[in-house]
Amino acid sequence: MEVICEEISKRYGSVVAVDHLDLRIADGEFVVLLGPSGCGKTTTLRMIAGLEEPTSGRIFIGERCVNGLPPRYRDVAMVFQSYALYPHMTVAENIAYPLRVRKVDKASIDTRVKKVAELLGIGELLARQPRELSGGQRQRVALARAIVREPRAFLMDEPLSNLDAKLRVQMRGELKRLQYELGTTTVYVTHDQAEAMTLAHRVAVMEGGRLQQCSPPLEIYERPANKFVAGFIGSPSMNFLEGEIAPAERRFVNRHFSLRLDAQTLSLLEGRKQVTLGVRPEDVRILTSESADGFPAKVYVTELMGNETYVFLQLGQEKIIARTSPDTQLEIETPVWLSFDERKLHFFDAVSGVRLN
Amino acid sequence: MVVALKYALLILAVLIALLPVYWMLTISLKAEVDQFAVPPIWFSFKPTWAHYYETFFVRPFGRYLVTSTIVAVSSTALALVIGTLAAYSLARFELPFELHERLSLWIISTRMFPPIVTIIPLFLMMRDLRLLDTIPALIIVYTGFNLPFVVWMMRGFFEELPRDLEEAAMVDGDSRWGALWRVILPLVKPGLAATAIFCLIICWNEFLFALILTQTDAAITLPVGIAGRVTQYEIKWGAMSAAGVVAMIPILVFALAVQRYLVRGLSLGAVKG
Repeated sequence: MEVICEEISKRYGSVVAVDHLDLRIADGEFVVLLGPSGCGKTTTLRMIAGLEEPTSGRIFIGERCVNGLPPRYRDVAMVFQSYALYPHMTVAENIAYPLRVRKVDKASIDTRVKKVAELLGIGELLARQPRELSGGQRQRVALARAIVREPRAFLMDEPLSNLDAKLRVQMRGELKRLQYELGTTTVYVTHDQAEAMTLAHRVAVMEGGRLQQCSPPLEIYERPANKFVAGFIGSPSMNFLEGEIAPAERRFVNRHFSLRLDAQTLSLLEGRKQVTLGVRPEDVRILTSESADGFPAKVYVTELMGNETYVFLQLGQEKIIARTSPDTQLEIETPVWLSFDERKLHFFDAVSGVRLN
Repeated sequence: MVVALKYALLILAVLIALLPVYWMLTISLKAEVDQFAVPPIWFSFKPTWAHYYETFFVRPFGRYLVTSTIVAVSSTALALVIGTLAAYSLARFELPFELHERLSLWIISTRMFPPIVTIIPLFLMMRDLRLLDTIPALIIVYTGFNLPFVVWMMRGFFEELPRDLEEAAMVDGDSRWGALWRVILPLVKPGLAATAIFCLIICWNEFLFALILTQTDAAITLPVGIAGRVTQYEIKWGAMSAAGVVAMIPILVFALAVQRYLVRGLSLGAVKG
């Protein structure tokens, strides 16, 4: 089912948790709400679930406006960060609970519980108590409980964050496959950008209660809508360099270097003076010999990650991070020359942070 | 050495706790000549059932026992139902101006003055309601008396439970009542058991209100009945001890029955791995 948030806001006293959020989630779509803690993503999810009422705005699930409707009539399933398994019930009773409260007959409860348990590979655990399960198994039970009644939408609140790193990657893949097979609309909240990028059809980045951008993962990465999104997505973060546009010389001028701009970029930046240049670490090229279009810098420190190396560079007062191949071997204080991949430059308004090109 | 000392102290504590019980038991079985023999007779006396016979067949202690049971069980049940619902609301719902906190404090403040100051107003109220010397009068008073404790104890138990559980139940399709009944209450069973014992003991032993609000065998409870054996001419130690021994049994049985719920830890594993 389609899930639509129409200009919803949530205020607690004078604190604005969610600020005029507009979000249309298509039937079968997987949307990830991504943002730092306190950005309003969980509040948004809880408003869709009916655990919180929006202060203003309307929420639709399918055709129906669900404002004021208690959670049980919304027919959505939620997976909690804590899993929230009922500790006094067995795994089978946990999974059966949503069917039991809907007065489904016993025989079909049994078959459906078995089917879902098989699907998630927890068929042998049905008689166990939640406290006898590992974290990953609990996670599967929580998912099974959500899936068993074929809801209109899945709502997931950081479901993987209590798992260890290895299991998290594995469950991430399984979750994606599961959503593909079931085709159920899913809203997923996380602060982990890797989860967002890998799982989502579209990522909705939030900050300070506002939606910053809602686009497919690649577009979020390649064309971030503003400086916040640009800095939040990508690891290590994008480099930001303050400077001015000098139209006569067709250049971007910083205290320590200047950069030639092509005609198209220049026309998009026309009339601007103060701008912020954003360059992703992988778009920084390091040359060890002097070159005409490179500007001089020094190696501050290098960090070997195994599959890649991060080089921290000192460019006058500015610090720049470059991502290079692990073969790069640079001593601290080595003089180098830098250039940026000019097809992949990002320009933001120096004050508002809005993307300009 | 330390272990030995620990055990010695524990044994001493147990002796101190059990000695009066033992003494009451022997007094209830001793003939009157043996009761205050000097030096005291600890073991070798000829047991007699005369005091039990007198207490339960000559005097109406059986009736007092029934009254006490009705009053204690009903007022405990009432206080648990009302108090648990109040405690759940106070634990889960936030009212403007911190009213939920103030309300809780106000509820417990009713226990901050000595109960005796309420005796005269209560007596007058019960007289006007034509409830003096009736069982309902005691049930009402004891329920009111126990409510603050129930609210505070249960509120603590509810606050320990993560909200996720009932929210999960509600999203899963249950109403708040259903979530309370099927998910929350089973998890606070240990708390309910502890609170119930607490209320029951207070009601069972209560003397002051029962003495003032009852007059005849229609509503006299065990403690008042026992005290009644201290008469102008004599103190019936044997009969009082016999009644005391019997009065002890129901509470002991109930405590043993709910003992397994008193062991906490049922909610372990509810949340996180």
